[in-house]
Amino acid sequence: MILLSCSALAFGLTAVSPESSGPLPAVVSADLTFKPYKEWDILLPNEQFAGVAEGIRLPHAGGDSLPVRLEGTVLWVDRDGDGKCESKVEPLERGKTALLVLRVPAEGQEQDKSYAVRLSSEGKWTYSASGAMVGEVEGTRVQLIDQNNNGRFDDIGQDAMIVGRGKSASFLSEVASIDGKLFSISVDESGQRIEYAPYSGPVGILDLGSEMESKARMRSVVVTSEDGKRSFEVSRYNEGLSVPAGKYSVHSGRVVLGKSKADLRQGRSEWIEVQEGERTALAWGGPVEAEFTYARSGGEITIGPRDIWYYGRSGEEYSNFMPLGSSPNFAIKDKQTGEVLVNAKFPGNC
Amino acid sequence: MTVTAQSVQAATRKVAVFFFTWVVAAVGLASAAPQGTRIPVSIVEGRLVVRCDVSTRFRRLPVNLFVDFEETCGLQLHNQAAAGLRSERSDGTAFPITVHLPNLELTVERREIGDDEALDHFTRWNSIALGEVSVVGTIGSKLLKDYHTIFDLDAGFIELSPPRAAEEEPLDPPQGTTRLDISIINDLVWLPARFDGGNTAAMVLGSGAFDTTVDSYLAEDLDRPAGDIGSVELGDVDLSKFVHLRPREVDYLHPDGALGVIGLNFLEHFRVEVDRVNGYVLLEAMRAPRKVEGDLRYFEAMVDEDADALAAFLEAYPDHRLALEASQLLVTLRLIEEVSPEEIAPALAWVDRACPEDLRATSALEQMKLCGAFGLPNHLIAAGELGLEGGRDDRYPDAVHEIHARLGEVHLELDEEKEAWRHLLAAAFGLPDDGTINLNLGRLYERQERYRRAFSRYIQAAIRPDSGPQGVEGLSRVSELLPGGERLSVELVERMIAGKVRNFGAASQFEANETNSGERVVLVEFFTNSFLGNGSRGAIGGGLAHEGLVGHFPPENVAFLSYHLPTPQPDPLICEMGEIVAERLNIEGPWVYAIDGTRRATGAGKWSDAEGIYEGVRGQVMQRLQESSEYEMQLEGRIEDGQLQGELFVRGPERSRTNVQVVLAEKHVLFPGKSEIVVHRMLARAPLTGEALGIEWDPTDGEMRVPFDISLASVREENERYIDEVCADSGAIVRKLSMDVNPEQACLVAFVRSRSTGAVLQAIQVDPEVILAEEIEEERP
Repeated sequence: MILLSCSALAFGLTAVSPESSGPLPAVVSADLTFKPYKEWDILLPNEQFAGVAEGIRLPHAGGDSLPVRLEGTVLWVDRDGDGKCESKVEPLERGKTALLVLRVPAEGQEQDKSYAVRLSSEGKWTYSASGAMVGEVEGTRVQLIDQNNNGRFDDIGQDAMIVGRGKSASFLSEVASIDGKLFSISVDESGQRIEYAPYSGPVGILDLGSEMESKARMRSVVVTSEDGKRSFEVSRYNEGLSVPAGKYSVHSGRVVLGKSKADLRQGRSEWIEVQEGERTALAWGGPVEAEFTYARSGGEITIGPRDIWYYGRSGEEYSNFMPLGSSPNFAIKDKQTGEVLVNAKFPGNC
Repeated sequence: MTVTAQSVQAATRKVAVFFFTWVVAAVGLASAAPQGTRIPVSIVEGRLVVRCDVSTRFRRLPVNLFVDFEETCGLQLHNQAAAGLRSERSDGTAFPITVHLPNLELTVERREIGDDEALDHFTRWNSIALGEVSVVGTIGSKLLKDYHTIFDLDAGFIELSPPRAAEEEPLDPPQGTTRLDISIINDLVWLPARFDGGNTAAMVLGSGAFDTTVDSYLAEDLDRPAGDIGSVELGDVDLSKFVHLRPREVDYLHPDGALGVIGLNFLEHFRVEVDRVNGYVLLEAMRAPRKVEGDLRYFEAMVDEDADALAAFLEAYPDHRLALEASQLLVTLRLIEEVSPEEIAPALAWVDRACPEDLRATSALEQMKLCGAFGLPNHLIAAGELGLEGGRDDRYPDAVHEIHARLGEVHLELDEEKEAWRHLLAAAFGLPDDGTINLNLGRLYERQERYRRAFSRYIQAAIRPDSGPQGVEGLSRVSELLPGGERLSVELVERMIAGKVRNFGAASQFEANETNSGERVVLVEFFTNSFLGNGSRGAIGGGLAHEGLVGHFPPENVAFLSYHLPTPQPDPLICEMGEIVAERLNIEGPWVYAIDGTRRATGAGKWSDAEGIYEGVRGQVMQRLQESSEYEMQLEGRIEDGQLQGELFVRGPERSRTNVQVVLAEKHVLFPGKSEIVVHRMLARAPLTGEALGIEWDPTDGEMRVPFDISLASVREENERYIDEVCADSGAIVRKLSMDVNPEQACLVAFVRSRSTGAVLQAIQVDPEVILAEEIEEERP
């Protein structure tokens, strides 16, 4: 449902566009509803799991969090805020999570509010949000994710958002690109309402597609502005994307080739300055340089899988290569003759 | 390999590598000379599977492997299979692995890691179709690229032969075939395609999925999110006449644009010959065009996440190959809609109908879990009842018992005792040792005031890690309510669990004589944790040995202390002193015995290692017993009304950097952790000198007296404080069980330790005098 609103800009939208001048554009709002995800396949720019020791953070009519209790190896969670831990979660195998949908009385509202978490028992019990507030803005699907697991959906630069049908999220941003147009947006704490208005500040084009060298596909590339308040997921925009003018950096992303994948992060890459009315392209990707350290002890040379770093052309760093087992070859040569003395690879589980 | 950048001789080197070499890097290949061969393959649950053997020089295993032509791997292999083949040593050395196909052997230098969870799930669901042989991995393009490949799935074969000679002139394709010039990128084969009235792109030739896919973004851009983008021409073959394209993100890159991935549903219709040397593919139709009805309707409902459309699809195509997938999605969507139990029933019935006849209970368990995740107990019950109907025929006999167990638990939560009892009893019949089932039966009987039965069930629960703490609490409540009951004691529990848990008793008792010992009392310190490993390996090995050692050596010769450390997971038996002592003695973790401070022995292992660990520690103790000590010690204490008072007397030579310590320990403490050690012995509770490492040995005329006076309540408070601190730091949760020090189990251990070496110079262990409350009452005038 979309509601037209001519009221004053709620949630501080005015603060979002200090560059704007002239009459304020009409602010439109849209309702969002919570949707739990059974299978979590969303790529977050900064996925994090929170410990359950202090309970599951979810502001509701009865408090700020939901208590948990450990019985043997089993975790019990109060899913509805009545103080009774009635939901059982069995310990999980390494790497697995269990979905739990929570329904709590909302402050000042008749209807309960929903929330969902993925619980993990790897080492200790932790949780991460497993759902999104979903709605439509200008006919485009928008999802908001409580990435920092505090039960709120309005943390600019900390929570996450997806515009469109994709699975790759940017950070929650004060400005979003929706169907090629920029909008200033604001979200209420519960994530149930998003307000937006056309962005009217200076704009340039950030082009991370045309000078990218890769044999693999970018599944996700998240850029963030210098102040962390603007963020875009640009992997699909090979011709560049209109963004508010300013400085950006490549924050994170994922490269895929079939089922193979690698993560990328800023590494040593510099800030990219997008000037008003101009196109700024970044030459990045391949060829990649690998750097490594080694230690020599007597006749033994040791190289660890964690002692090797991969950097792209602009200094972006690649890591977490999956599947494991594809190791670089390390050749140890005679300094004078160049003869290869030893070839070595990491074992299959590195 | 443990080198860090800080290593003294570390150096940094740069090498230029090709971008994403590591993503797509080939395993080193050493294939045997390729011999052409037709290899029988089958399509199981939408995957192309080949039955073969894999071997190393050590072992050979019969297996099933996926054949994924579009997967950029050589040989991915399940960790268990790799371990079974001994394909890697712990130092990283890899041994070549050979895949034995009919008349063809492919060898890789090393494996890549497979998706173990997905492989296990696939095997579990398709074990019969797989001939009860597990799928343990995937053969990918890095292996297959060296072969002239023919997919002849209509006949049930793929054919691998040596690469063809380069053709001087392009040959005309045989009659009835379509020749397509291919591009090869990252060893993947791409076919040129025209779509949407003339646009061109490329499709990857794949065999890793049944459905042929189209890039979902592209489909959305064409306003056809369900994938019905019209004709897709591969030469003169219109792909859309054979299959409905499934919309899915395409994780490949091609300069002309990646349109999608060819799947098995297309390959089934054609004989596809791939000639990489000459750069073409020949397509020969083996079946008349025939799209499976209903595919598009499902893709539309799937993309729209429209539950009603899914239900309509299932009504229209109840036996469709996608019926199970559709019905599972329908259940999820209905749960999100928060429909009533009556409204979820049709969706659950669709799942039940669509799953294999002999997996109905197994499938129902998954639906129950999902309903449980949504917090909907009545929906869960509905799913479980459906599963029970087909339970008797389920391939996995435990599934039906697990359904009963979960149903019983939920009925108990809903106060439906009769139903709960019925299900729990049925579950216990099938899974008599299950902790949770016994715990819930105990709770049920306790509610019904049938305490003897409850006690019996709680005993069973108390010895299992998932239900142990609650089982112990249940025992504590119920034991005093039994007719003629006795207060719960460790002795009572030990008696009750005898024979139900692993134990280890020494064959004989140590008998001191002039040749095997002197005045020295040796201190054995055991560092452990209740969550290290499980009932088979980990703390269990050391714990059982500890039981044997405590039983073997009398306290006149050997004093014992066990310290529970907070890793890998804090348990309620930890105390701060343990962590500090471990740090002082450089103890690496909760798997060590320290004998008189300086000698070490392993304190963890398989349960069957217990005897070896016992013998190892015993041998070191025996040696140490024969060494004399210059120190004499006397120790006495008295516990009265929760207060422990006493004094340690030490006589010995003056020596600097030496400490004296008195420790309050408990002889037996109940706590069932993951290690399945239920009774913990000689547990260190508190330093009675007030210092974790003891106080300075400061004798006057060679003698020193150390008085102590502490309330047992304060010991508990201090240990609780420490647990809270550990939990705050680590985010862990500890259930505070067995925190009170039982005066009847109290024990005092004192020792003199060198601060320089950590060596224990002399020790003593005594039981304090305990004045029970009733005796105090009697003494009063």
